[in-house]
Amino acid sequence: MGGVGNSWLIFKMLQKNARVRMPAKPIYCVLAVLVFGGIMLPCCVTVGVMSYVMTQALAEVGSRGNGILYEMQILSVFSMVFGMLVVFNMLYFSSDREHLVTFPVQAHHLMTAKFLFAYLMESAMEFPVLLAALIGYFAALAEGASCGAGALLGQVSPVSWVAALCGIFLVPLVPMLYCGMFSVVLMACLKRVRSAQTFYRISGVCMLGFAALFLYSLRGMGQINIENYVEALGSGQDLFLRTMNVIFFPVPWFTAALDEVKAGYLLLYLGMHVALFLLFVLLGKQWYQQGLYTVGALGNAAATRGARRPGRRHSLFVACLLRELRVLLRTRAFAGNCVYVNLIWPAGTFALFYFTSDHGNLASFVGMYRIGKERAELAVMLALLFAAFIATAMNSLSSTAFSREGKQIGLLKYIPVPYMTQLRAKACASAIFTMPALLAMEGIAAYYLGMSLSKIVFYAALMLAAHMIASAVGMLMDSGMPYVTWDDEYSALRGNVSTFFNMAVMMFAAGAVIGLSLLLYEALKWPLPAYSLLVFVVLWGTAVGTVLLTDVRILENMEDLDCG
Amino acid sequence: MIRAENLTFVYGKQKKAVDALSFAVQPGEIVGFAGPNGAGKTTVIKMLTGILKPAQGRVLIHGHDIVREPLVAKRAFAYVADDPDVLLQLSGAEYIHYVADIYGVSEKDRADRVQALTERFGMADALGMPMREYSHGMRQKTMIIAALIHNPPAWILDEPMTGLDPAAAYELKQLMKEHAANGNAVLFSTHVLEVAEKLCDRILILHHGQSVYQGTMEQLKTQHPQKSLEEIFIGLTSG
Ligand SMILES: Nc1ncnc2c1ncn2[C@@H]1O[C@H](COP(=O)(O)OP(=O)(O)OP(=O)(O)O)[C@@H](O)[C@H]1O
Ligand SMILES: [Mg+2]
Repeated sequence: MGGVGNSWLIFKMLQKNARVRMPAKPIYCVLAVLVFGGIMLPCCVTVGVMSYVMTQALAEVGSRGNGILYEMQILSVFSMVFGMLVVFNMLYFSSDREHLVTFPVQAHHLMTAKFLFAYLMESAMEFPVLLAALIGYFAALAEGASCGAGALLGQVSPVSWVAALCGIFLVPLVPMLYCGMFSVVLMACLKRVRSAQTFYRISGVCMLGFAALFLYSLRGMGQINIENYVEALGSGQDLFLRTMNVIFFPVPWFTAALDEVKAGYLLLYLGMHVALFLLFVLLGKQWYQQGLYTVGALGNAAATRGARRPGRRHSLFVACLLRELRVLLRTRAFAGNCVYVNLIWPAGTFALFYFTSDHGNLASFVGMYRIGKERAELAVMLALLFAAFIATAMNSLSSTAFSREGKQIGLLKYIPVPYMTQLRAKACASAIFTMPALLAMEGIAAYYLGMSLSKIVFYAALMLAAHMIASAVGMLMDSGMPYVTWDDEYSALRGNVSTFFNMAVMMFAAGAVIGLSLLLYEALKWPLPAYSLLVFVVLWGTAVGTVLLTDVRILENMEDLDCG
Repeated sequence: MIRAENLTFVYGKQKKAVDALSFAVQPGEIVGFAGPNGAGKTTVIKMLTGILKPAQGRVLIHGHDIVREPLVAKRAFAYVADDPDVLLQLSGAEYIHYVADIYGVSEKDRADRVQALTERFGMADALGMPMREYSHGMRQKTMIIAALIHNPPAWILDEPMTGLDPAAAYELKQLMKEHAANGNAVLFSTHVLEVAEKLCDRILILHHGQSVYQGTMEQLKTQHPQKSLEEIFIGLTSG
């Protein structure tokens, strides 16, 4: 016995250790309110309204529950795609691993604790969204029954209430459990691989294959167009929905319990979660300890890298840049979350065009672009700009520029290199990993849209300006409040408020740039080339101004860095 | 009490870090573990504590195989790792109590031991602070207190003196002596030969993962008359 208790103890210990430290500066409170009010709330409202509209539309064709089913399946896919790396690393590569395994706790209980921790951390943001989706659904129900919310409370069966309540917490659980099982099985298969490089390569390929599989199954989403989607969804013929109903098979049971008030399905739904969880624990019992041993024995095949070569002499800037690049590429957490994550931009763009360029809404859009419709061109330009802002914030290369140093942050101060050079090296590292991905994305879009070379160059210049703004703001935030007391690289990324806030600010910035550009375009009614030039001048002006201004502040912050 | 039989460990494909090493620490004994950097001390200790699985050989703690019966074996030792930087957002007290909970230490024992140990290490005032605000030595002390909270028969300490002030190092040495005098076993790694000389009943010198000397300090000195400890050590571990 005692084992479950131990799982719980370790879970609590991990959770306590993950408390995010909010800096006591008022600006961070403002940012927190902005994030909540400006991102979380609109997201929830959008999802809620979507489920309201879909439920209403589908109620007319007699399959009311498919709207919420569709949303739940999309959320499942997202949980799975984003949870994969997190769970895998949490289970096998977090730095507390060596510490926790010496406790008298069975390996699979330790695994359960870590899994639950990862599940809560990953899904915390998803719970409100799920809640909003359900509220939208119930609102549509009340509307359909033409009664007020109060009367509805009495009408809806307890089965639906219980189902709704469970769904909020259980919908993200199944994908996470899949991630957990996949990790454990993958690790068991990699038992014979002893070299770290091979190991990372194989696990990287597996992850990519996995992501590709999911992108592939998402292709059904692009086929939807306004005319046929209600029909397709209503009849359950939608390809995406059909695929997902197989992969995340308990979710249809959830909607059956919720919408058709079938208590049997509710029991089945709950029972299946228990069963899947037990299966995961069972797999862990079989293979988790073995996997931990495998990780412990990984060695470096190329251990003598660079040892024999006499070091070439580099300039200060190049030396600093090389250091940044090497740390980023060779630290597992940074390589995945900061470097390779950029691949999703070209990959996503490719998937988007490849699967949908010959039918659906996107196809007609491509047609409009090709014949030179101004609105279409404007949309492409703004979409690329948006991607540049978000990509830069998302890889957190800039917003962890100082946090990455960790306990060695003092190094910045005692090496005899001007702060400006170090700052430039960090900014350059961010550009080196972000811009090629953005350009590749643009190239793919250019291929499918038939963009002219001059436009490609012009858009690239705009993206560079957006990248510079986002990167400068990210570094400014991180230099003011670097989070250096992390005990492993993953918490350096996750516990870092700058990363989070930079993302928030860039979403605002991107939204503002796009909103203003559209408004201005409608107001000015200039021809597009002239208007584009205006955007170009304003954006580059802002970029240069931002860089100059933030430089001053960042240098000051570096002076004041508290390395104690 | 602590028994290693024919331990071998390989990192990756070829990096043999420990090679057919056997030794035992009897009840009532303090054994010091010396050897140059990279000799394999930490690797051996990680095998003893179940972090790594020996490629060959086995480890018995209090008669229990660490791979086959991990739970019983793990209950029988206290382990202080070479790196005390873990779970830094917790306060010292929180960390110690979590560890005590995991080992199922009763509230009375826990209160007594925390009281005694924090006083000896002068940590009573700092326990409420998060560990991220501790100095290296304070973290090390917290790890030692937490490790000793369940008062197990075997202690396994990886360079426990590193970063401790003279008073704390003295207390730790006293604790080790008391513990051994009560019929328990202590194994610790160190680079300070004087500490090993004063404290240990026996010493084990490791070089390239192999044992180059096992025995008492006196024997070692009589084998190499007219040489200082340092000279003997360097002689054994060069080449
Ligand atoms: N994770 C690892 N991957 C590959 N090789 C490793 C790993 N950890 C240690 N080694 C190698 O194993 C050998 C023994 O290392 P170990 O840490 O056990 O030495 P040590 O005796 O504790 O040294 P120190 O006195 O510096 O603490 C070294 O040659 C080291 O290069
Ligand atoms: Mg060591």
